[in-house]
Amino acid sequence: MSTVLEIRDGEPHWWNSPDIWVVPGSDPNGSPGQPIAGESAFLWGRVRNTGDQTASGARVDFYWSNPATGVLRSNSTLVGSAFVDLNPGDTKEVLCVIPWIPEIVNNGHECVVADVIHSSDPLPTPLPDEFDPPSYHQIAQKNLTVLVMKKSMMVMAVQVAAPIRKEKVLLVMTEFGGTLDKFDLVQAGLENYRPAKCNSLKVGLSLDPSCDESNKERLGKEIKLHLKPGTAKAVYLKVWPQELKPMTYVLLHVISRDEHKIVGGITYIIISGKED
Amino acid sequence: MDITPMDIRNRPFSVEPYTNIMLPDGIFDTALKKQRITCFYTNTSGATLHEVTIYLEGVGDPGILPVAHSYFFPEIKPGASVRVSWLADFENGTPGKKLVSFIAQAKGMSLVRTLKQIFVSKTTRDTVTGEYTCTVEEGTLKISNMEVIGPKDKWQPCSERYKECRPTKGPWLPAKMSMTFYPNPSYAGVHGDLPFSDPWWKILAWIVAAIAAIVAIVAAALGEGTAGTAVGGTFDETTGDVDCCTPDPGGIPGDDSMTVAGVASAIATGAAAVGLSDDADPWWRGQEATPPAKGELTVAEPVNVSFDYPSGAPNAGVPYPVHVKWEYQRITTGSTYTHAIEETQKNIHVNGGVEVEVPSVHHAFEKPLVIKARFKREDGKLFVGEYLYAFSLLRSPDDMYFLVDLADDGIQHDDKPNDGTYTGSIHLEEVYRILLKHKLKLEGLWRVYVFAQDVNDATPDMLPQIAAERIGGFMVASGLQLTFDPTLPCPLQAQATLTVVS
Repeated sequence: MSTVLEIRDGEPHWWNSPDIWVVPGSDPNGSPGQPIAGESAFLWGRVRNTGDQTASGARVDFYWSNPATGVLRSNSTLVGSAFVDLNPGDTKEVLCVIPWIPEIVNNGHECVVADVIHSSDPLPTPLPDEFDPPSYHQIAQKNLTVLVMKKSMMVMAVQVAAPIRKEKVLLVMTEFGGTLDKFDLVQAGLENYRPAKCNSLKVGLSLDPSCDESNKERLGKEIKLHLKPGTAKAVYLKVWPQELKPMTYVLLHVISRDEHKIVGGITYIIISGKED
Repeated sequence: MDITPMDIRNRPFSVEPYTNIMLPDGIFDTALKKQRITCFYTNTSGATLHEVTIYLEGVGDPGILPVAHSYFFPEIKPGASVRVSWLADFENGTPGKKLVSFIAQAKGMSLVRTLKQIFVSKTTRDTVTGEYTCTVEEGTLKISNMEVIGPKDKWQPCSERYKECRPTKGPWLPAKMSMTFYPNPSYAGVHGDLPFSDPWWKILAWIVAAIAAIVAIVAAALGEGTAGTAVGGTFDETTGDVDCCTPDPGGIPGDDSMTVAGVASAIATGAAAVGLSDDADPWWRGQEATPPAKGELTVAEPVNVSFDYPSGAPNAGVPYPVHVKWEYQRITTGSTYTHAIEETQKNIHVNGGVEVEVPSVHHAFEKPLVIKARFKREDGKLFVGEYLYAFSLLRSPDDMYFLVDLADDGIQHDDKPNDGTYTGSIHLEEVYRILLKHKLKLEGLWRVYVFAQDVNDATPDMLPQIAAERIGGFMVASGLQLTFDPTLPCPLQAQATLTVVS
């Protein structure tokens, strides 16, 4: 007899869980979409019990953190919790009824993590600083952000952090391409979008946040960082304008890995748009 | 798959867990750390639902921490309303309207999520000045002087064991209050926003009085500085005139005698709400009578009120009169306006009679003892289902109290939902163990007292000034009587008695 509580990881990128989504606005039952900085939104999760024992009063905790390739408990903020009862084989949607207001400094681009806690399917004690969703079926992450293309270069700060008491050497890199399934697009508020025909995307990574375009050609696709325990650094993702047809998208992934494995990532859904 | 046809039709309300009393109008207050989020969940279909699970999913304030708990009902009949509640810690809650999410799921159906708002206020007390402050999003009510008619020094012994009742458990009848409401923000025009866009401002005064009483009761039972409350202190200038003969709270650890003190305080503090009128309170009426000049903003609205009880102490469920004198002031950025009234108000939260049914003789170990109660409205019709929060107290021959919830939900011993018969049960086999522990006897004469508070049935679509007229939390039936007359017999009136044999 066992309880196995699962919030699914994303495919092919585990940080794009289909079981976490955001409903912007004041109505928790509204349509899914992208959060808007400074305005309230609600977080939803989907939890399943693949074991053969009932879990009553399982607690789902929802966190947000700055855009980061590896989200840690120590640099995340608890939004709130919700309870759920799950019989064997049950799958239930769970609402965090505490409104979440994405920080204006991040322009609404933030990571969301959900974990499900129950004594019959516990997480390790003490809890490790890294959420590490691929290692735990109870934890998942949503790092999927819509990026509306502008006419000038865009700069996005991405936090890269080392866990408390662990030194890290991390390689941060970019990839582009791939598609999202219909459900992911609905959750992102892009229901009728389709993949763009796009063979190249001009992007670069830098430790310099400036918009200086003079060294555009020298920017690399990857950066190596040495991080002391409990510290963080910002890597700046720079994206140059790309002609995209209306209602199409391109996926851009920022991936962070150590010598053993991928430790985190963010996916940007780049769409065309008019500059304000 | 069909969606489970269940709904919560009325606003969930606060029940204070030490006294089991609903707070004024069901409003939660952060001064009381633990409160029960209580509601009636109704089967809105025409069919019986089977194997229904109900749980609270979450509360929309990170400072309010509920305890997970799931209810399971083998069946819920058509139209039946089941009462469910969850203990939650409100100490770090913030004032305002908060969403609460509830889940219900019947066998073979998909779950239904019901989102309801609860109202949360924050009452604090300045330990230096003794001033109470009750804060809501729409403003702050400060009460600088709360004079009450308190318990007499000489208590009438109801029994040998209570002959030394401490006079710290109330009740406290409001005599005078000096209150000032500070709207947030200052407003132009005749009327400002109502608290939570629903109840009158007077409800905040009632909340403060109720909290002061509960704090004192809890302190009397559990000691000062108890973990149960976030404010200390009690009333100003108490005069001892009222009797209610409540048992000593905390006299026996684990019994429910605090409920009696809670009922007494609910009746007594509710008199302030009666005096300030349900139709329109002194703030609303004062505002109507003092329209400010163009361009002025109202910044503060003091109300000084005194209460008198011409027909004696107030009692639950009867149209007792309260004579009030109040003076409203509107302080604006340009002037001060006043409006004064002297009048008599009557309690409109009344009943037309209470019937209690228990067996005359009960064999303790055979089966549960079933208590049935019917509460009539003034017109003779019965209160039914979700309109009442009802409970009973069962008093042992040695005066230990046991709380028994009463429900009109058609479950277990309740024959039919919404027929006006509220039913509860308790197995004295379990009670016997507790009595044995305290060396108290099981066999003998047991007394039954029933109590009921009305439930606010305002709906979110009502205009605020209409919703404000719907007020819940008044005691409409009580086995407890308050009196100013020390020559009268013990005012704890049993509505039924039974002989328990083993």
